[in-house]
Amino acid sequence: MRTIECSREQDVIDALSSGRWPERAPGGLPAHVASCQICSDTLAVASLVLADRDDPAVDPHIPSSAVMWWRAQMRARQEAAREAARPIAVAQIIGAICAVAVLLVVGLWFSPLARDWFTDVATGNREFSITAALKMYGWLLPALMILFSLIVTPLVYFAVVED
Amino acid sequence: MFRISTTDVTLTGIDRLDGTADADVSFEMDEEAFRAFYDRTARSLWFYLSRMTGDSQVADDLLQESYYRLLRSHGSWESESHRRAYLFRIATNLVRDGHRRARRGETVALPESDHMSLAAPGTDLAEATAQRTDLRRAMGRLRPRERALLWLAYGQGHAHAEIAETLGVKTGSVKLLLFRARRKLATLLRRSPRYGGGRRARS
Repeated sequence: MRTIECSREQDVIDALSSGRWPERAPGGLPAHVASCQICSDTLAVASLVLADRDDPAVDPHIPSSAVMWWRAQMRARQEAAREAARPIAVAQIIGAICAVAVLLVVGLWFSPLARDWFTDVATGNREFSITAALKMYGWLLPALMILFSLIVTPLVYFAVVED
Repeated sequence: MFRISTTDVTLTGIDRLDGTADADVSFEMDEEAFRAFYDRTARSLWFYLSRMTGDSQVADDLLQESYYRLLRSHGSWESESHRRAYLFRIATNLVRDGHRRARRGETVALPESDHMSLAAPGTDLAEATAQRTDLRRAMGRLRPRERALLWLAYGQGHAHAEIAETLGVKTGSVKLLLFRARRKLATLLRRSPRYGGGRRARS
């Protein structure tokens, strides 16, 4: 079975972290590292990682804790305001959709074409049939849908995305 | 490369007028606890992020994002070490998301010039610089999880249980994963020209 750990691995790491490697390392450790593949790998990797971590040339520009707290507060407040405004935006969208729908229905009602059709159906001159209506005014449905989406899409975009 | 959506933190006119800017937003952690925790962990987290992403500016962004997400989380932590593991887990996930977005495959080329000090050849500083170059080159050839394991274990000195919590793996698996990552990195380092690997390859 392949060995994946060595009991002296931690000693190597401790000696490196405390700056005791190799001169002041515990007795026999350098000799052990020379003969142990696991400790030799640990030394090769940990020594470079620690040296890189302690590189004096690296100067991270970490904001102070006070600044970080303030930024978090500001951001949370903005998010809370956005959350609070969401139901209003949804209500605005629904209202706009209803208004457009009402406008379309009213427009359709007062159009001579629709009025004739409804009058014919009401007086019995024409039998009410969905298929017949679609056949006659079938072009009207996609046209209305396009018109509807042209009006509603920008409304939804501005209310949801921009918000 | 990495991209993260950050929210512009500015006061709107309405905030200023109605005075809401002065009111505190409640987080699970209070200011004093947060600031103490931040002071203890920010530097090590920045190093972790910087070495994981290979870009100090991205590390700056991810640092802020990590702490913000920690504050917004509603978790309760048994100990400082659990909280720190949770913070590093957030950071690791952010890095992972960045890698996914970058769609660079499994390995990321870490810039060798980042924070590299210029030094005259033959000096200790030159030697140290060359070592760091080797390390970053070799780290860049590892998988993100392998890099994370090695940084957490040797750069941060985290215990196996904490590493497991951070990376979302079983504690028992950490030993084996760490062994493999260390083996791979040591082999890559020994193959580098400074260790005679390049010469050996040519002969």
